[in-house]
Amino acid sequence: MVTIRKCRERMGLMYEIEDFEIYRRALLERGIEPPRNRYRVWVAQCDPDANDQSESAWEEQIQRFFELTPASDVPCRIVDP
Amino acid sequence: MSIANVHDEAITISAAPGASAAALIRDVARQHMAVGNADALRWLCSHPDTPEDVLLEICDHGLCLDELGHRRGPRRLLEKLADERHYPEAIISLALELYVSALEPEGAFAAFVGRHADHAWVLESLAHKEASSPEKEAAYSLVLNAHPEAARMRTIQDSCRAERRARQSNDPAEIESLYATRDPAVWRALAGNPATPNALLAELAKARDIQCARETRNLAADTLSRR
Repeated sequence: MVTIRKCRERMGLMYEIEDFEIYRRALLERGIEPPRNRYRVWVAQCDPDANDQSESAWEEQIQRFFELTPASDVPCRIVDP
Repeated sequence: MSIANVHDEAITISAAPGASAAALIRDVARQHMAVGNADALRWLCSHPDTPEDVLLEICDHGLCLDELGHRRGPRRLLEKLADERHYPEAIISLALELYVSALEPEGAFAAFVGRHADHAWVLESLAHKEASSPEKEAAYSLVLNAHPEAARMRTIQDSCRAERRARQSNDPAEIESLYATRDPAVWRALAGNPATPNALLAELAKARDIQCARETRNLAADTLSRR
């Protein structure tokens, strides 16, 4: 299971893969080229009233960026500590 | 969006809410392209969300050509790799697509094969295939005739044609004459053809001293068993 950690900060949200090696290995095991670099995505929250629906929409895009989609078949969760 | 290296070597991508995966990829790719970091770009070349314009830009930078060349598309990328970078796999993929697909116009095939007529491996790959129209076959023949290895490629072409006939024919006389060629690929195709007469299948089931003999024997036995 790959975990994306979501950190709420004053001006937005930061998304980061919790254990990059587990993530890389999970992709490699499925024959998917993993990234060489560690990435984290900072989403500036312009609208403080952004609802859960819009948050889940961009989180889907972040999962796509990391190739953590049903097509890649890597179990993934986003945790919001 | 902007990108910055941080102390723990993670790269932070700043995105507006609603940024698509393609937009994130575009931003990351451009930053890596700017410093010619092919290693970092490699995973994006096979990433399903990498947009076409980014793939074309990576190609324009002359980076990751092997990774781009292993992709099946998009078409514009293959054309760029073939015509500007002379990448062999892209040339072959396009040549075959233009030759066998009825959706591809004759003129496009003729122009493409004309541009790459000096590559023996392109002409040899085409020799194994069946053109989607007589006009494409004529265009191929024209180019082939001018090539120093034309005779060898004609032999391949004739053998492949005979193999296709052997797989599809239901004319006993044609099947007999194909059997007489003793061409291993033709025999293997006849062994799997349900229209091949029992007597010939029995002979093929005893094939020896010929390439693919075991496969031919097994196929013939299998076809006979389904009678």
